[in-house]
Amino acid sequence: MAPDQSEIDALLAELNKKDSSELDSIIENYEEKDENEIEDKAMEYKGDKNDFSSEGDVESERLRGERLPLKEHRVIDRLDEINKESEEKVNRLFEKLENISAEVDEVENLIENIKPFVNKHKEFMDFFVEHFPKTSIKKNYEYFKNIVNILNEIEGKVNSIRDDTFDAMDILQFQDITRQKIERVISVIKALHDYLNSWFASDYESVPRARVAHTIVDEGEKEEIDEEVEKIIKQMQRGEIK
Amino acid sequence: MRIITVDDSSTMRRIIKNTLKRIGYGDEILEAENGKEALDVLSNNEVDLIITDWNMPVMDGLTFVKKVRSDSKFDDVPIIMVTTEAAKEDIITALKAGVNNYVVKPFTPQVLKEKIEAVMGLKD
Repeated sequence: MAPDQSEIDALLAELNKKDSSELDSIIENYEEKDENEIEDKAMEYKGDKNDFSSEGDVESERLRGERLPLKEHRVIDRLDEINKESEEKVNRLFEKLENISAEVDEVENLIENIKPFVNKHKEFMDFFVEHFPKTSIKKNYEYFKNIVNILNEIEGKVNSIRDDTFDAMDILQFQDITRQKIERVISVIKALHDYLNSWFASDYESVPRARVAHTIVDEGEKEEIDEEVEKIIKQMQRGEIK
Repeated sequence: MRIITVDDSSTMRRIIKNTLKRIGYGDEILEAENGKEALDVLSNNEVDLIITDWNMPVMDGLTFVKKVRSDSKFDDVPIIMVTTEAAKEDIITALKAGVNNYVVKPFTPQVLKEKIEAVMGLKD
């Protein structure tokens, strides 16, 4: 934004106090500051935005495309970021699944350790009950058979958890596939960016540019402006304008 | 069996590694993020099987396969390409470059097992 009159007066007062050697640096600093301000404002405003917007409003206006984006909002960078975040999260999920899988292996090992003992004991009880059917151990035998069934059921559940864990790990391939789909979108955006750049800004940096025009006259106003110019020149020549 | 898995996605490398363990090929698994890194690994290690992705930065899978096949040290090492590329012409291109078998993502452990058995001559 242009400085107001008080800023100009303050600057002039300061300049009057300095010798010529200091003037250049003051002017230089002032211009630098001014340019930075203009650039900041250009980044901040796209249209006629008032200064009373809250930070949240500014942020959401940027995201809606009503203000120029900040660096972190640039589409390709953002998509790369999303890919990276999703890969990190999926790797964490994978770690958890690996932990579950390792726990399941441990449970299975424990079952494997108990099973020979249980089976041996069952064989013994089978034999005993078969040869001594009227013994009082029969009630314990039924109870023990139930334990064996529960153990088999636990073993089945363990296998089922392992299968589900493995299936979940396989499904995580979607992350890589989705990542590649996003990569494809990125490549389209990049191609469009390069294409539009080649139309609008080819060799822009390498060609020396003139100062950007502030006022460009419409064709309809041209005659009027020409007359105004002539009038000013004549006034100058007559010394009416100092 | 020593296998190298080459993929720029750490998730995919993890999945392949895990799958190889599940299907009984998890003895020794080396990893690389791209073809260039894989060539570095291969220069210091002998491997029995290469499992590589196609689309990778720095050096893609196809270039990597061609480099491997042009080196007499590795020209007989079986290569399986595991990729999202499913077009017929891509598959032909990969096979012409020297890939022995081709798996399209997402894959199941069973498919990978069958492909490994096929390239290792373990299956008729």
